[in-house]
Formats: sequence, structure tokens, C-alpha cells
Amino acid sequence: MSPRTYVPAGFLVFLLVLPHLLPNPFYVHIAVMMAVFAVLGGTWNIIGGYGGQLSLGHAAFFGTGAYVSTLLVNAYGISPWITLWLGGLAALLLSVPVGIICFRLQGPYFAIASIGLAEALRLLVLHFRDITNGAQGLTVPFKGNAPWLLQFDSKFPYYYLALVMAVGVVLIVRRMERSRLGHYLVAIGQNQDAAEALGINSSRAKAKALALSAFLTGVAGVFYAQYTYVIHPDSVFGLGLSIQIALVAIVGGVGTVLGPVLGAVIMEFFIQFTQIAFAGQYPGLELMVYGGLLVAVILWRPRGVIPWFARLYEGLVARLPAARGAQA
Amino acid sequence: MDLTTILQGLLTGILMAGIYALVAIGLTLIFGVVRIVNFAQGEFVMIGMYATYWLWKLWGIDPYLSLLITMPLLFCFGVLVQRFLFRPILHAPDLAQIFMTVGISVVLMNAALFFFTADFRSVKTAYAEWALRLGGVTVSVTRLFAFLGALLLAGLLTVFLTKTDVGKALRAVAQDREVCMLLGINPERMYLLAVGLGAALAGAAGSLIVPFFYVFPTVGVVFVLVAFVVVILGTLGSIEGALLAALIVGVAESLGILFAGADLGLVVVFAILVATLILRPSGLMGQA
Amino acid sequence: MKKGNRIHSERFRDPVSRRDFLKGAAALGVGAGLTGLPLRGVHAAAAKEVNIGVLYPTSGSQARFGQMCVNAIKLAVDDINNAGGIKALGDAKINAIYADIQSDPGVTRNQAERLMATGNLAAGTGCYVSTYTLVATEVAERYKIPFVTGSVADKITDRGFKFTFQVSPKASHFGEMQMEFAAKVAGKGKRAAVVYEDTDYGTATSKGVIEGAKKYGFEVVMNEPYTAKFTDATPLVNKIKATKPDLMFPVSYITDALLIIRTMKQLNVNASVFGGGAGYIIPDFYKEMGKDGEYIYSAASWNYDINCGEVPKIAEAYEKRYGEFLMEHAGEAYVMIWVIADAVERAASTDPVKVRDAMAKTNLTKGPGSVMPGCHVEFDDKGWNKHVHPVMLQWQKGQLRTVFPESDSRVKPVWPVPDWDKRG
Repeated sequence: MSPRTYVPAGFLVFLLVLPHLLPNPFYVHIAVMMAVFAVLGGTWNIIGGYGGQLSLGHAAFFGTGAYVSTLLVNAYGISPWITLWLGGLAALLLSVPVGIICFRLQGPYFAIASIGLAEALRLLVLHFRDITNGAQGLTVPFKGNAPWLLQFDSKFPYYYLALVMAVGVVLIVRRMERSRLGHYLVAIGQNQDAAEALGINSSRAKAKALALSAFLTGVAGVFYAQYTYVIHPDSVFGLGLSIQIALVAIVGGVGTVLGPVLGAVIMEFFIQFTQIAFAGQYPGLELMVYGGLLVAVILWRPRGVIPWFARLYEGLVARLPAARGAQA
Repeated sequence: MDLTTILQGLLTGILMAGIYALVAIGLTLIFGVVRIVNFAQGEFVMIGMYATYWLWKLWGIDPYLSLLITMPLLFCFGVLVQRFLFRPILHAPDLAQIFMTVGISVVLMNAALFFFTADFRSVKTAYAEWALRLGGVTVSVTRLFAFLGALLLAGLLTVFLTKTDVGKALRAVAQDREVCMLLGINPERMYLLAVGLGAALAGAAGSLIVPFFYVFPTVGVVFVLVAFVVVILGTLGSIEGALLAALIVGVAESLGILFAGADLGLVVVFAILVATLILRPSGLMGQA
Repeated sequence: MKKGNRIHSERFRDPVSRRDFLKGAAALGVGAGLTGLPLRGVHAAAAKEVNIGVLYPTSGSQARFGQMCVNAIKLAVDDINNAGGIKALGDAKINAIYADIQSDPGVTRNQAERLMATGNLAAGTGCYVSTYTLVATEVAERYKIPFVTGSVADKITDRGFKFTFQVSPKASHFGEMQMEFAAKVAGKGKRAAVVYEDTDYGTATSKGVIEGAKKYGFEVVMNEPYTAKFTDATPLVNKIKATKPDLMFPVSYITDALLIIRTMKQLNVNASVFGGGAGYIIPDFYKEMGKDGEYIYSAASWNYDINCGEVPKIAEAYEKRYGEFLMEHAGEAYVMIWVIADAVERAASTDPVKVRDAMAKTNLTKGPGSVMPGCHVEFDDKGWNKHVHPVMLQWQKGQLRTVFPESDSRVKPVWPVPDWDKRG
């Protein structure tokens, strides 16, 4: 068995037992947040990296998922396992008109519209306080340990769920990369006019990418609502969140499968470090550093940090022996 | 809702439009010449505001006087940004360029947060509360000055662009880079000039609004969205368009607050954006 | 007695050694996992400490309020420790562990997780803004650590959590009290304009104001949220002016409170102002407004001159140490530490579950732990202090005085409020 097989497999096993190795639930919480951002960065990548359309308002889809799900759970007692998909669907539907309006135009329109979308949603959710409880936020009803309601006392189930989502997104992105849609997107990214001359409907391809991205982001939003129990317009629709999502993917590696995962780990590490080391005393520090990282990446490593890690990985794999068995 | 209230709303919108115009003109200038969408334009305003605040706080310089300092300061800043951050990515894909400006925006915003804290700061001047009362309508003097100052600067810029050689060269580069090089115009210098001017205008906007606006690290975000809508509505690259669009957006926002709700001003602005993108994406000055 | 992760709490005493936390935690994680003998008994038996987790925003948009609360807590901790600490635990000292929640719910979650998982807490307190408190109490309920708060949203105690305790009045009570007082001084049938910030505080209290207005016979001529952090009050005040109100009920944090009042003066709107707390009752308000802040009323959950026991002494000590008066939430923060200390004393243990059980039986009528309006702290079965009620304050000659209800006040209200152009 070649190291190319057993190293990733071993890593996956490590991820499976990780929560049991961590000394207390706080670290499991960190791991969950890393997984959530890996999911968000990965789905952003579908439209941002492969689709070449910079979204600075992905929180719109995230918040939509979170709010739709929590509203349904509160109003009708529907199980979040079901609203997980409904929230994703709502986000997907939201993305359709956005795509129709923006993708027939060439230029920065989508980026600007995405900011406006998230902001408008945030203000509307704040405004219609009779439905959404406005600025007070919504809470998921407390049920203690209720697995069928996606609520657990221990953090472990949340971790595994987040892990499944993260691995799922990685596999989906990989699958998409090799699919027809993926090839269309790459072609459009390189030269839209040439791609259209070849018969590719670029608007439709981008719209499909956005729909997929929006759906997955909405699902992540539902998970987040269930994990944090309290959602609030500023935290789930905020511009800061949208930028963080984009940063994760860009710094990690735009248009790559594992880039966002790496980006998420780095980002969460920065955040935790500054919050622990300074007891959270210096707001702005971690994002300032992270933003500087983004500028540095654009200047010197536009493909993100992942190629560097990839090279390290290749070096490691080359040195490892093939395990006993058939081929090398 | 009586006439006086509506008139007051109209007036407030018009006065605010002046500032939106100033920020948007800087944006559209940078895009027109350098072809980069500067998401950090709001942060340039923020820097101008903080500079004005500190000049007042440390040395008691009046905000309007500090224009003479903040404009050159921001001009240099813009030149540096162009030289070291924009130039390397001039021919990079659009996406990389936008990422860069977003990154700059994040760094600036959080640097302000880190160094100056999130405290809202304000400048206290003797004339801060002066107001002209005309009938039932009140005009705050500081807002009026901001409006007039914005108009003045816009006017000066237009004169510069149409009557001076350098200005004409700038417009030429916006129209066609290659031809300009054939004519002996150095595009590099024009880029530096454009970004410098764009930043200076943003800085001026900052100084002009400090007398009636609070200064805080994320204040740029407030402007960036509105400025973008103005730029798109007014057609990317057109200064006259930006002026007209600013008027429309400013008044719409103000009336929106009156009629739709005091918390929905930005939603009205966003609605304008959607309408523009659907009906006339090339903007007021573009071909339909 | 000696728990394995006492090591963690020791590291938290000195902020600098937080840097070592990462290294140490990593090493410990490996060590504890492998050996199962987490360095028990390595440290010499120090006098027992009572760890209290303190979660307030000392940076970000609410920094000013959070910092004042933290100041008050530091005073309380010193006062308790100087008086001998927790006697039932051999004069154990209170050790407050501070974490800045950066005025952000996500950070609140993170810091709450961190403190409750690793801080060996007997209890926790915070978070000023109700939204953050909702987050922190959800975490506390799952870690089974009692959490005491001065936040006001009804939802905090409506959830019926076992580990949540609220010493302050409920948001829905503020409006009722405001209207009762307004009806008393202004009479019936007046026109009331209600505007409120689009934040949880504004939203929570405005509902009570509207209901109270209807109950006491006011005509509500305006009921409107506005975007917090707006920078121009002219459109809003313009709208207010058009409704010709007699009374104005704004709910705002600092900056909009200042902006609104200033603009009201500029546009010559003469409605009497009944603020909804927060921005209207901190030292900065009068410092910034000067004479224009005179006569303004505001609801509050506590004030430094309420008619309860040792409040004047506490207020004086705070002013001496920090140079400004002890404001509403900071005063409550001071009280809460004493409430926690009382519970720990009766539980004779730092086990959070035992502390919680003792806290549920709290019944204080004297001492610094009792000085909320009503002078009696006792929690109902949902964790709410059933004897507390909001009070009405007024700025008189530059001082913030309690004027209603009579049982809590030492001075009378000034009414009617003179018009802008008739003031000196």
C-alpha cells in the first residue's frame, strides 16, 4: 500500500479519535469551529475559486439557513435534521435571482451585489422583529440531550457531524472539479468569450455553481444555529463573517480542494491564539494579521498557502516506505 | 406627513449626496484609469477622518483647515498603495485585484480598531450646532459646508480634467492605454496620479464630515456600499454620472427613512442597486 | 478537594502566564491523556480559592459599559477579600478570572467555553448585553455552572434554566414603570413618541413601553425602530417632530443618545425626554451634553442613590477609586459578586452544583448583596429576583438622581421640563 493511501487514511483515523485525545471540551469546540470554517471556505470556493465570482456576502446564505431552520424549529417543532435541508434549500432559492441578475454582466457587479444582499437581509431581519425577534436574536429551544432534535450535551456528536460535513464538502468539491461543470468553470475563468464561442453557457454554469455553494452554506448555517443555540442578525449576516469566509479560501488556496481546509485551520488558530494569549483584549489584532496575510498572499503567493504545503506533503510521502503489500 | 417634513427629508438627502459624490468620484476615477475596483475606498475616508480627528485633538486644528493637510497626506498614501500594492497586480486577473483591495480594507479597518479602539470619537467645534432656519426647515451649517466643499472639490477636479494637460492625459489613459503610450504619455505616472487623487478625495470627504459624524474604525463600511451603488448607477468611470447618481441615492435614502422606516435606509439603496442591474446595468451615462 | 485541573486555575491568576497556557495545555493534554495522573499534588497546598468567571465586553462597541462593570467587580472582590473572604472555606479568597468578550456573541461563546471548561469555576457573571448573556448562559447550563447576570431580556429567565440567575428587573417592566411615572407627572391623554435602537436592548424594552402607554392612556403617535450606529439623527428627529409629541421615549446607547438630544435642540423639538437607560445614564452623557442634558429622565435598573442600606458607602468608595459615579450596571455587577460570595459561603464548597443549590435559596435583605431596588434579593423558581423593580432617574443640576418610586428615591422629580429656548 503506497504512502499516498495510508497517510491520508491515517490522518482520517486521527481525526476520528481526535476528540478523545483532547484534554477538555474547549479544545473540541475549537476543532468544531475549524471544521465549520473549512466547510464555509470550501463551499465559497465553488463559486469564488472555481467560478471566479468573488462573493463578499456569503453570510447571506449562511444566515438564511440559520434563520429559516430556527424559525421552523421554534414555530412547528420540526426536527433540525429535516430543517437542515430546508435551510439549505432556502439559501439555494435565494441565490437564483442573484445569479440571474448578476451573471449576465461582466465586471465586479456580483461582488458588490453580494455585499448589498447580506446587508439588506441583515437589516430586514432586524426590521421584522415580530417574526424574527429582531436584534434580540433567536434561540433554539433547550432540550438538553436530544439527538433526534440535533442537540447534544457532549460536544463529540457536534464534532463528528462537523467532520462529516467538512469531509463531505471536500469530496463534493473534488467531484465537481472533475465534472463537466468544473471544466466549464475553468474554461470560463480563463477566457469567458472563448468558452462561450465553444457553446458553453457561462451564466448557467456560474448559476449552478452559486446554487450549490449557497445550498451547502445554508446547511452549515443550520448546523451553526444548532451548535451555538443563539443566532443574531449581526453575527450570522455580518459583513465580517462574509469576509472571513472569503479570506479562509483565498489564503488557503483559491480553486483548490484542500486549500480552504488549510485556510480554516490557520484562521482559527490565529483567532484562538489572540483570544487566549490576550484574554481577548486586543480586538482587531487577528484580523489585521490575517488581512496582512491576504495581501502578502496576493502579492507573492496568489495561489494560496496550499502549494507550499503540498510540496511539503510530497516531500514527506516520497520519503515514506511503501507498506507491505502489492504496489508502491 | 406634511410638506415641511418631506422638504426637510429632501434637503438632508441632498446635503448628504455631496459627500457620497465625493467618495464615489474617487472610486470611479481609480476604476476609470487603473481599472481596479477599490474596496478600500471607505477605509481611505476613515483614515481621513481619523487624521482630522487627531489633528484637532492634538494640535487644535479646525477640521476644515485640516483639509490642507489630510488631502496631501491621503494623496501620498494613495500613491504608495498604487506603487507597491496595485502595480504588481495590474495585469493579474480581476479576482486577484479585488482580493487585494479587500485585504487592504481588512488590514486598515482592523489596524484602526487595534490602535484607536472601537470608541466613537467626535470633534467639538464652536459652530457644530449652528443651523439656519428657513421656514419650518432647518439646515445644519456643518452639513451645508460639507456639501459646498464637496461641490467645490468636484468642480476643481472637473476643471483639472478638462482644462489642464495632465488632466487630459489622465482621461486619455482611461480611454485607451496603448494609444497613450504611443503618444508618449507615461501610464505609470497617470496611475499614480489617479490613485493619489482618488485617495485625496476620500480623505477630503473624511475631513468634511468629521464636524457632524462620529469617527470609528468601521465607519468606512457605511460609505463603501453606498459609494458603490452610486458608481454603478452613475456608470463606472463617469464623474458626471457619479454626481447625478449621488443625488438620486442620497435623496432616495433620506426619503426612504421617512417613508419606509428609520432602519431601512440602506435597504432602499440596495433596491436601487438591484433596479440598476436589472434595468440599466451600464448606468445612467452608459449605452443602454 | 484537590482537583486535577487546579493547575489551569493557577495559570489564570497572572495574565502574563496565559501565554504559557497554550504550551502547558498541549503538554498537559498529552500527559493527562497518557498517564491519567494529571500532576496531582505537584503544587504545595495553597489556601483554597474561589474562582469566578467574569465575562464582560471591555473592547468593541460596548467597551465603556463593560469596563465600568469590571471596575466595580474589582472593587467588590477587594472588599470581600479584605473582609476575610469566604469563612466557611477557611477564609478562602475570591479569584476573579476576567475575559473580554469583545462585544461579539461569537467571542462570548468562545470565552465562555474556555473559562467554563478550564477555569475551575464556582460561578460566572456577565455579560451586560442580553444577547451575550443568552449565549453565556446556554454554555453555563450545559457545563452546570451557576451564572448571575444583570441583563434584562425577559427571555433570559423565561427559559427556566436551572443555572441562570438574574438580579435585575425584566425588560418588559421598564416600559410599564416609565409610563406609570409619566402619567403621574404629565397627566392623561398626552402624545407619546417611542423610538428605539435596533439592538436587543431597544427591542426588548420598547414593547413594554408601548403596552404601558396604552395602559396609562397615552396616545402613541410614533413607534419606530432606527438603525443603531446611525450618524445623522436629522431624518429621525424630523419624523419625531412631525408627530408633535409631548413626551419622547428613546432607547439608545451612548452615541445615538447624544445625537438625538442634540438634534432635538437643533430642530427645536420640545418633547420631554424619558430615556430608556444605557446611553442616558452614564457619566459621559452629562459630560458631553452639559446643560442640555438637564431635566432628562431615564429608566434604570439601579442607581447609586437608591434608598437601600450601604449604597451610599459603596458609591463613595467607587467614586473615590475610579473618579466617576457608579453607574447602573456597574452597581449591579458589584452586588452580584456579593450574591455569589453569599451562596458560596452557604454552600461551604466551590462545587458549582452545590453553589447553584445554595444560590437558589438566596434570601438577602441586608448587606451589599441585597442592594437592588426593593432592597431584597430572592430568586424565584426560574432564577429571577422577584422583589426587584426598575426605577426612574432624572438629571438634576448635573447629578443623576432617583425620583420614582417614592420608596427608592431621596429627591422629588422636576416637572414640567422647560422648553429649549427658555433655559438659561
